Amino acid sequence: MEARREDAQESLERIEEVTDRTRKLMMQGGALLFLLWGVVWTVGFVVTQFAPQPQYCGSVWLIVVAVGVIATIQVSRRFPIKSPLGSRIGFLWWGAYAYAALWIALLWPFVHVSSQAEPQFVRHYGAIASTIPMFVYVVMGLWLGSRVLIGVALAITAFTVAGLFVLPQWYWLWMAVMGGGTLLGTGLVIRRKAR
Amino acid sequence: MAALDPTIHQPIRLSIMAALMALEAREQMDFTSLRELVQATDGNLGAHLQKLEDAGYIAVEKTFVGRKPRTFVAVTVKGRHAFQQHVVALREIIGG
Repeated sequence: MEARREDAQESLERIEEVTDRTRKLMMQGGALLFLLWGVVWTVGFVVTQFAPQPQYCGSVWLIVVAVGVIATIQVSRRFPIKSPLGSRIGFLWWGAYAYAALWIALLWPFVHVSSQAEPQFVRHYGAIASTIPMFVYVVMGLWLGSRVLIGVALAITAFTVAGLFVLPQWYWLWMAVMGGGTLLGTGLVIRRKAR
Repeated sequence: MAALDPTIHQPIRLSIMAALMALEAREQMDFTSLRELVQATDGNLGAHLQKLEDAGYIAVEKTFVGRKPRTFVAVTVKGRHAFQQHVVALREIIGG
């Protein structure tokens, strides 16, 4: 009877250990994506802040976002876990990019002309573009039951709006630190927990 | 009183089921990651997966991601129920 009890105890410990390692494995992919987009945001916003020729910032963003999207697709393909929500999340992202592209195209002539006299229009334009992926994060968080994703998205949305009033002259640097920094920090924390 | 399930009780199969039970419903884990988690060889894992599949506890899907073949494994509703009963039985042994 004692041997049977020891065997049962060992089995329960094995279950707990494997469950813990599985959860950590699941966290690693998420950490990598947070780090990846943290780098994209930081690079994009730092370049926007310090670019000697601001008219090229749009092209810089196109390049860094394209690199981010391609890297995300590659990382997602290597995920050890396949979720039935995977394709739905993919469609959500493409829908959000199409929505953002539509508004960027529609507003671009207006922003381009008015930014000469009113530079804050460009900041507001950038703020809207930054909150679209955060909205997607919230929806993903609700679907996946991830409070981290929802919390990060709401925090970055709040920083995005606050920066317009707190540090308008340094807005892009603010976004690099508060937006990119939050993504990077979250990725690092998750990666540390997943070890 | 719940009974121990001999199909699940074998240590490697218990680890396989524990790993798959940590996933959400309808989520699948790839063969390579499962092999690393349960610390088994390819052949050993394949044999144990076959036994669990024969019992109807897991579903195995072979697919292509890009051009690479990949095998994904998920626990079935029957497997989920059997595992939960097995854990109840283990706890009863310890408690009793």
